[in-house]
Amino acid sequence: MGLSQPLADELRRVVGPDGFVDEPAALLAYESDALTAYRFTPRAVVLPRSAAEVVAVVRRLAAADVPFTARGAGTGLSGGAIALEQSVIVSTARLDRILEIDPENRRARVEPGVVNAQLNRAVADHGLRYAPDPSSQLACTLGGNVAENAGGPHCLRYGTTVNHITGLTVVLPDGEVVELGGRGEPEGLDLVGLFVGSEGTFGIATEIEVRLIPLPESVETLLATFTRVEDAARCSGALLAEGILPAALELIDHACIEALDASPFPTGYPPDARAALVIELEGDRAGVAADAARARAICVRESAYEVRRAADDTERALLWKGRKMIYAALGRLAPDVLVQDATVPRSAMVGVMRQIYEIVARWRLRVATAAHAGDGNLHPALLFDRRDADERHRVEQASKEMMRACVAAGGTISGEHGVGLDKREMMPLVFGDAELEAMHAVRRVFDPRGRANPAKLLPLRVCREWVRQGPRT
Amino acid sequence: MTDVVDALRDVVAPDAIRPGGCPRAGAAVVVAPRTIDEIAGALALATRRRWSTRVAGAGTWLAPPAPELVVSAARLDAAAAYTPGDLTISVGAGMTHDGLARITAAQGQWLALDPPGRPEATLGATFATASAGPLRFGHGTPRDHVLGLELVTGDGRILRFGGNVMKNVAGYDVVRLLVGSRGSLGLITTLHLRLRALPEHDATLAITADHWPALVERARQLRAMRFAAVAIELVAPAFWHAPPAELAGRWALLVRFHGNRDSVEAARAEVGASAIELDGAQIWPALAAREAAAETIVRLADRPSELGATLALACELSPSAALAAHAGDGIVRLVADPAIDLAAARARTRGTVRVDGSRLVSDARMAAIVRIFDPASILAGDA
Repeated sequence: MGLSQPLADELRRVVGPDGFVDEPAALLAYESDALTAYRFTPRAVVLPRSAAEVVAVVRRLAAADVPFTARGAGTGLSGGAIALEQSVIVSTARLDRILEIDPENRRARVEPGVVNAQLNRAVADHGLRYAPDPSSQLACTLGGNVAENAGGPHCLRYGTTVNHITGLTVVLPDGEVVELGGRGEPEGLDLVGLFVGSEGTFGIATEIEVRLIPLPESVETLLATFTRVEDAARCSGALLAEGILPAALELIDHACIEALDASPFPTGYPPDARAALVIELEGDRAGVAADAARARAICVRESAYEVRRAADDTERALLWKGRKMIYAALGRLAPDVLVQDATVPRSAMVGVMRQIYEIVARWRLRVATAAHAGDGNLHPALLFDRRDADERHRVEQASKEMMRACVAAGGTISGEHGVGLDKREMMPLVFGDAELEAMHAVRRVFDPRGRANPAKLLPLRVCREWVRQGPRT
Repeated sequence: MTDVVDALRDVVAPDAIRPGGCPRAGAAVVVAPRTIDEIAGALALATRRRWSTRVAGAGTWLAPPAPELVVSAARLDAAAAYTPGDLTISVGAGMTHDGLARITAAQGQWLALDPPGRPEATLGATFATASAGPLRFGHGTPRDHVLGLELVTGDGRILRFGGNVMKNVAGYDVVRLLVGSRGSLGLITTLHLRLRALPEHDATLAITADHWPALVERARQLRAMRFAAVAIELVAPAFWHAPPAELAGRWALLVRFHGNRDSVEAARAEVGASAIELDGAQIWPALAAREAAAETIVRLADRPSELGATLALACELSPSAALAAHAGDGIVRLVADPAIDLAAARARTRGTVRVDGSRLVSDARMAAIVRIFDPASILAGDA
């Protein structure tokens, strides 16, 4: 069911004919994001070219009481950019300008469609970088990163997206434009912090001010292989306990290694390697060299089978290849991969990994687990074929059990991918009714009519208790 | 007051009730229960009776006008859970910084925050006010150190947000909203904190000068240095009650480094032989205590590139120039006499000028959020 002709015409006038998509064949490209098990066709897709056009689009949708879903690159893993309740997708693809780079103050201002890697390339010339590095950084956008409070391997040392956003210009669902954050010490409640990770339910950020950090003088990368995943997990804890704070600390398990070795991207790890840790250290040259020597000694003490050190950037890329090519390798084993986002206290990691293997075996599925070992953020990847309804059902059941196991171990249901559609109904595992109601009340402050990315993040039961009024066009 | 006391006896233990028990809160009844349930009972009662209420730790942040009731977390001062292997700890909000430091130092760990404050100030107050000290440059501000918390709202609901894990994007980031909310949303009762390993080496150097412009340039160079300083503090000679002898009455740039031995040695070498080595264990607490002792602090903040302009403005506002600046962050704290013309100051900067106090400034949207947590507006004060 498309938009009414008058509304469609108005939107075309705002964004130009190239910026309005409503042909069914063209809409197919927008019916899913990286949560491929779900497909929902949007009512239309609008691609504004400027902040002013975003405002105009949002105001027209508000006047017509039409819900909308903002979408960056569509790389999200929780279904955040999927259009539920017949939303219109507002794409940020054409808002891809870097507006300002201020090297002395280590700030930049960008439009939401700027790709993470594009920002990094632009600021590298100034000896700076934007630290949060999700695995999808070659494609994902800053707007999406802000919506999901995206993480990545380097968040262990530098923090997640929320630690790197200092200001936002936001278009609220009713079309009002607000400035959050800003120069000096903005007073009042931390609405920048609240907006980051709000998954598109408070409105659309049209300008994002980011904090940049200096490129390190020296980077050292080690790869330690282990014959038992328990040793790798324990080693990651030992490194941190002994005062080494790596820039990245990534773990991959035996299933990942097997998948990689069976693919065109073999690991080259020693045989019998059933787990690997990538340890990346950054800082000044002398300090990093000292930390690297200590890290190597700790790995050996923790039963590392072998420890390799990258001598240059080419070798560094080789050491990282295993970690980075996992999903490409898994994609050769099954048509669909569901990447979970289970985060637990680090000390609980091994126990939870064992439970995950047991759960997956019981549901007759296959799983390969990579982890941001430094912060206990596990990514078990379930392999399946979504056309097989029974397998899909088993994947859903196994996922729920895995989430419960994580929560029971003191963890949470999402470390970095977001709740979105995927984990919406699991929110009661970590929040009571009082908290869910408080969060829904916060959402209503920004979006009284529930039109921004509807049916995401909060369980439907919580939202249904507040009934929407009024006709829709 | 007696009806407040009488009503409270139904919900809290008698020894928790202290009429007039907090000097900064005048005649207010202070209730400092030992349990979160009693705190919830007290706030629920206060909402039903519409008593003007403030929440507090030790009460060091309270400011006039005095409310009818003060609900304090000061006796929630125990560590609930400590997992050194995870570098996380859960504590009652009434624990002091010193109390926490003793527990974590035994495991070679620490909470990397150094807010200005008196020794009896609580962790709850630090997070409620989001107050940060010089280490903010290298280690971040309170929002960066809290993984989760428990709150009792203005009407006595006990809410829990976040948890004990390093990365958590489940739901809205209400934890970040609560940090810095200055008691307007309720009383923080439990904090889940992120710790770090104590640094192997902790060195403090000072560069001195007769006037501050040379130090502003030096600070700029230090910010760009490849050895990341964790604090760069520019301090006026007039700032100190008891100026450290090594600084000889001059303007000083205090620079702090954390790291392994090689890193800190290399940093010392790069800063240069003209720098004086200081005892960090003395100087940083002295700075924090001096700031806490000031009756009024005016904060002028702008981008680090504008530090010179911000300092110039501060010196014009107050020629006695009793100030210290977080040079890496562009924030100047001026010990102020009451005559400072804030409006004039605001007109002369594109940054912010504010008096460090206990009231939360709010716009309509923020006020709507506050009402979610304090529906009867008993915590709102005279705002």
